[in-house]
Amino acid sequence: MERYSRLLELKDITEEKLLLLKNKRVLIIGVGGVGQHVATYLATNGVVNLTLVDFDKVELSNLNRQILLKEDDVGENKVDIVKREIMNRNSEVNITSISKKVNSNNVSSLISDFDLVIDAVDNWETKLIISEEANKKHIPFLHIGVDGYKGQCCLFKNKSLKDLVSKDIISSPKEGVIGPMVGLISSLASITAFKYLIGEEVEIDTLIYYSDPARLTKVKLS
Amino acid sequence: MLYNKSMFLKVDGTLSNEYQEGITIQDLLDMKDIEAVPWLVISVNGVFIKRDLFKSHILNDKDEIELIYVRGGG
Repeated sequence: MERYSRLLELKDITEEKLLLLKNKRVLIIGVGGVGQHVATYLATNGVVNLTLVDFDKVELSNLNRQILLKEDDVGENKVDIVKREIMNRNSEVNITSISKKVNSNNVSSLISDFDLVIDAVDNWETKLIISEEANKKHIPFLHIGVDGYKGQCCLFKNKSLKDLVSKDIISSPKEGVIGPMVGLISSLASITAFKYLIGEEVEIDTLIYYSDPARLTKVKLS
Repeated sequence: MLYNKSMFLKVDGTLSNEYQEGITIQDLLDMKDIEAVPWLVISVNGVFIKRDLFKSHILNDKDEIELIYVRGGG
């Protein structure tokens, strides 16, 4: 438990709760900027059963926000590099890495026996596919989106993403992306995921939206 | 449509009394020349409003409205 000694100084964290985390299984779809941050924060804080899915190769343009990647990794399978880097930080973690593009044909086989599904993909089509499948199987679904100086997360349990955005959504404007904003939104989402997994109170079906400069808005999906 | 009285609304954190009593969310969007794009999420007093209610949801004095453009990046 030395690894988690500083974590255990928090008044709401106990060894019993950390042991509970050992039985939790988390699926993270997309290990770009958001997925790498969230996977790292969860894995290094006791969420030891992770399945990571991504089909991308590492590109040099990833490195302004995808903190686990190095220049030498360019051209490699991203999900394998992310697994390697997380294992370097916590060798007790069990990571299954799947190099695959998620679509409506394979989503059912990917989303099965998980305690939490995390959406860290970069397009609405896939986000909606994942959300619907998780909702159908009654698996909590943590949506995360970031672009420009704005971003949001929402832990859906009784609702799904199609309750929030128009089903006609195909794309939203791309304004570019800066690493610290990805880190900020990913951190908000990681805290939500962690607290949910250890059984602490979190806001369910509530959108948490950050806009620059320093404005946080919460919206309850009634 | 003619309205006589104005009311206060706080839109994205800015309070103003430039709004006519009885306006709907859609009226507010029209006033501000805002298109209800698929990634626009609107809340009134912290509660999400479904987009099929934009034309019928009447805003009240001192309502707090947030216009949120959710992001798709990951």
